[in-house]
Amino acid sequence: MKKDFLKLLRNFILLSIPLLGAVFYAAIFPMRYHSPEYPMWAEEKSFVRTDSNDYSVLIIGDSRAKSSVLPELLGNDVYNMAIGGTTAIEMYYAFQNYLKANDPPSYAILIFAPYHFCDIDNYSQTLYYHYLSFWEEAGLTLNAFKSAKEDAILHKGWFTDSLSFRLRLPNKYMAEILDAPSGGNTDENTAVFQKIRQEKGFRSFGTDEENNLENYEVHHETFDSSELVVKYFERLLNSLEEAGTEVIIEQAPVNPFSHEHITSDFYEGFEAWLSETENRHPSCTVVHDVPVYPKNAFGDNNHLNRRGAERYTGELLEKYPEIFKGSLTSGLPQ
Amino acid sequence: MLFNSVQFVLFFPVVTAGFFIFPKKFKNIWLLLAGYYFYVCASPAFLPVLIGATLVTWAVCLVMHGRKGKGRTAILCLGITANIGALFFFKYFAFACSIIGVSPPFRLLLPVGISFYLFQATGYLIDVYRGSLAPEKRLLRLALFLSFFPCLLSGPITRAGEMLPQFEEEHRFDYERIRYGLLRMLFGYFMKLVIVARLDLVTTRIFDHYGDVNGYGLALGMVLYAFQIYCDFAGYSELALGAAKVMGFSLPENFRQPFFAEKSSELWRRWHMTLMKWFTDYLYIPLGGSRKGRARKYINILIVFAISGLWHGASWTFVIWGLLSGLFMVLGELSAPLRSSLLSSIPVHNRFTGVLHRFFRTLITFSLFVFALVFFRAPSLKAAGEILGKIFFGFRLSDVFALSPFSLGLGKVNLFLLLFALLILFAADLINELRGDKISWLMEKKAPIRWGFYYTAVVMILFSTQIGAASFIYFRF
Repeated sequence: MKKDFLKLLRNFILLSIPLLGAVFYAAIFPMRYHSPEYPMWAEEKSFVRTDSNDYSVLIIGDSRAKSSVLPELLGNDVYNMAIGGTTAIEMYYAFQNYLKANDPPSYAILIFAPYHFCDIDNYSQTLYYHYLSFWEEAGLTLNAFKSAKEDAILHKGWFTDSLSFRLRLPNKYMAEILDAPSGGNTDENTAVFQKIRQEKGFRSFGTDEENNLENYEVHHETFDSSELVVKYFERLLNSLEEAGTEVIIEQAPVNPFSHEHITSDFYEGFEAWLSETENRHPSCTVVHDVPVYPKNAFGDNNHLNRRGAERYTGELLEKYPEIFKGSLTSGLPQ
Repeated sequence: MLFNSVQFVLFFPVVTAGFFIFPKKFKNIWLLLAGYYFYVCASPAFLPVLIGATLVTWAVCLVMHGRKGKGRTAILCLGITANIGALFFFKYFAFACSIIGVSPPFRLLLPVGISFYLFQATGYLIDVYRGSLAPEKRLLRLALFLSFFPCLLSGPITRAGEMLPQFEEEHRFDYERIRYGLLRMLFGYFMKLVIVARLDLVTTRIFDHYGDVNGYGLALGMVLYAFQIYCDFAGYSELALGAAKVMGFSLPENFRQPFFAEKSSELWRRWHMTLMKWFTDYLYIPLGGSRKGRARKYINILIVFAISGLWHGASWTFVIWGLLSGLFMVLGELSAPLRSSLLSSIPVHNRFTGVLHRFFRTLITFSLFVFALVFFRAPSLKAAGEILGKIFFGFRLSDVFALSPFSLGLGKVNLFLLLFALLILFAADLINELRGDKISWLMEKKAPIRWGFYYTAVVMILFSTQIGAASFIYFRF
């Protein structure tokens, strides 16, 4: 029986060679087949895990932070380590990794879209790009079990999904591998990576000259925060405070149409939640007002375009002169 | 749990390893737990239905045993009413309400596999009633018969007489048998992931917008759908038979190259064989079969096929599909003498005309099958009528040349892979037809041929994972 079993095992391994080839290809050449979304994740992951000359100001948040703050206008010691599609969950782990390789920053500016305290809408991308380590993912899953209604992480088939991503199985990666052009995406992705690095983490999303369509908050009747996200946001704040970092919670702008259509219940709920957070963390500076920018500042319905980012960054510079060493030579764009 | 899920890829080796490692007395318990877990993954809320059907069937057979006369028949009726009643309740209640013009007071979800395991349970009840089978006293064995995971969700519909003894047999680790089973599973995955996934893209595109598609496009769509449903269900059966064989169990064959059939009656002896045999044994023969004259025989055929259609789904489209299939079978029998005399009047009879005749008969049989299948695929009778109207009255030869195969939504690579896969399927079916069993045939070949096929199949399956695999069509029945 043992001999037969070994024979079966040998044949099974031989038969698995194409599968192993696909898995290794997916693991070794991510820049070759992934879309240009990947370099943003890869750049940030590499930034937080390497000694990066110890920046004194970090921008932490989601895509609105990523596309709103131009660190190069704020000074040499500012880095935008936000990632599009993430929540406080990913940013908590990002900051832990940053601390392992770097001294804590003096200041951290946290910018998250309000709806990102309610929804985890992009977790599969976190798994897809292998952003979290095995143990980070295990810890998060455990916390999701403890939190009520976190089906964004513990959805039906979460385990096999997670395993498929972790092992880079073809059911998750083959589509993008086959869709990539024959020469691969390496050049394009490397260029995106380098541009993000050059601009100290900034990346714009929308390409419109103007946009006044409804953003994600418009789809929420009320501000119904996610227990798990809030738990991780608290952890992030605690962690920053313990590291001696001064925390500023800022708000990214919304376009006029969204501002008109976001319900008062949502705004009130968000406002109340911010006040509670402020009470729990009195050392944090919490900005409550969500600014409204004209439509020509928006590259899509959620994100500022470069003109909008310059204006927002300029306002931050004016607002916090004691933090930023940069200067605006041409004044704020309108 | 789907056979084509990562979950099953983890589940199956664990269950098989446990099955071979555990001592004999624990093997059946292990398989029962595996079956229930398998079912819970697919239909978590409805495990009580499966367990309830098991308990009722077991109890009814034990009570029936030893009784005679009307009491015995009454108990049988009670058992059948319980099983078929449950099926009616979950599957046909809303349909029955719509027939009498009442909106159903509640909406029910259909427990996955209910049509399969309740038919197995009902078949067992009738076998015990007829005395062809002793009632199973051990509840565990009966529960295992009804929840044996390879055939729990979509058949084959097994008989207690052929399965219960197998649960007592010694199942040892046998390399050749395991290899055979795994190769059947590989072929099943090939059918499902390589062929069905691609055909599904095309047919969904066609039938989701059938109003915008011309007659030729719809006719092509129906032909492709015939191959899709064949590969979907036969692929599932290959997986079920293969998985069972790995553990040492033999399940009845469910498909035997149906599209090689030369007449409708033959096609239905080759398609979903276990269901057709079930209907033959437990419905057609009790109705009188062919023993009460030709007219009665044809009526019985129509009844069986109408009910078979209803078994597939609670909708008039399925009833019409069943009736049409039965009608083609009856017409085939009625026209047989005329066709024979026409054939004998042809002056030339040689091997070529014989092959041509056979091809022609196969083509007609397949065309009739596809014609009826319109009602199976269409969402409503009105839609079926529109599709058939377009196929028969909106068919223009110019459309044949105007429709590029690349406009079917597959792209060049996938179209090539699909055609190549269909060629392999045809070769496999031909080998089955001529040599009896493609897997045994393959296992006898030299290593380069065998491994050539293995790697071709594995690489094509890998390339197909990009498409993603939907649920099996027969899950909904």
